[in-house]
Amino acid sequence: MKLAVAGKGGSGKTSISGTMCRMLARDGYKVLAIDGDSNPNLALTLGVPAERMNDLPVLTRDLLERGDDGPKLAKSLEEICRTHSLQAPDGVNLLVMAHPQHAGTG
Amino acid sequence: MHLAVVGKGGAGKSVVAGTLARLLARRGHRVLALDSDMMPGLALSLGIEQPDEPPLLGAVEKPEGGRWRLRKGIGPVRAVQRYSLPAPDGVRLLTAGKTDAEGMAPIMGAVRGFYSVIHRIDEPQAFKEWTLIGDLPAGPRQVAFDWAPYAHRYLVVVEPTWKSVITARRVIRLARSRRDATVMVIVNRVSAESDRARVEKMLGEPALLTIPDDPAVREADRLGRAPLDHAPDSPAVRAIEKLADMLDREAGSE
Repeated sequence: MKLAVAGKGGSGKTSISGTMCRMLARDGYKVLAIDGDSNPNLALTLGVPAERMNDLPVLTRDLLERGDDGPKLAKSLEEICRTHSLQAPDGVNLLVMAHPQHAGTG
Repeated sequence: MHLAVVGKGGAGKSVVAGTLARLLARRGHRVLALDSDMMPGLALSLGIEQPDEPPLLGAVEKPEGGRWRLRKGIGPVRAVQRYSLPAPDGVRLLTAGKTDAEGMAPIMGAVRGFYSVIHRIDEPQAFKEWTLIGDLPAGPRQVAFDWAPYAHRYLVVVEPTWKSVITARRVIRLARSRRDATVMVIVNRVSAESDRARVEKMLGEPALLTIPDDPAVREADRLGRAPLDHAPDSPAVRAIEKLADMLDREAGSE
């Protein structure tokens, strides 16, 4: 089962997806939560303490390498999850896309 | 006075930007409201209908094999003259355009045109006297990608929630990295006496102003009406009035 949650800002995307992730994990599913928002807040809803929000593991540039048909992942998804994901409560795994740190980057 | 309103999704950016634009216009400012959000918002908060098609599509052309650009002879002044929309109280609204079921493609030209206009808006003398109020989409992305090059001041709208505060932190960090830009924190949807102090502590920044949580604004939102028309005497509109007075005094003393 692969779901994406979309909608207007403030409409509750993060609250719905984060809560759903943990409930499904409690039901025995292996859950990978992916925060693709350039303003990533999913960790908070999953129950990661606010103090940890400043040093979330993010997906770094070196995970991509140049392949014959454009960029490809340098490692397997399993490996990336092992090294770059965050363990959230109920066993949910969280991957966070990078967020813009300085003006003119991203 | 050139402002940009930023913050988390649903924090109340459009309500603040739209209401403030009209209140400053009532105080004698020539106001240009700039809507770079590809989702609807500012037009409704100003009290006009969002056009189906962005007027700026008329201002751009796409040369064979090239990129969208402003048509020859159209600079920021003419673009605003011809392609901004009139809103109540004499406000003009320039909008980048809204995505629809077909996505970005039909409005790409307008978005590019909008981006060039805002990047050249400080060139002519004309806009130095204007009050510019930009309503940016949720989060830090457009701040990072320079969608408010005109802004000397960022109004950061934040709710008393962690998600909102963490977003505000990111936005403030980016805004501060811009030359000569200052930051003003506005705490919105305040329902308890302690909310202001809580946000200030979580954020590590003083707040300039609080806006109360106001059912009248929620109702206006549901109806798709401008809070200023629907509930002019509501506590939230009154609070934004205080902000308008503050900014007006400041502009007068410059």
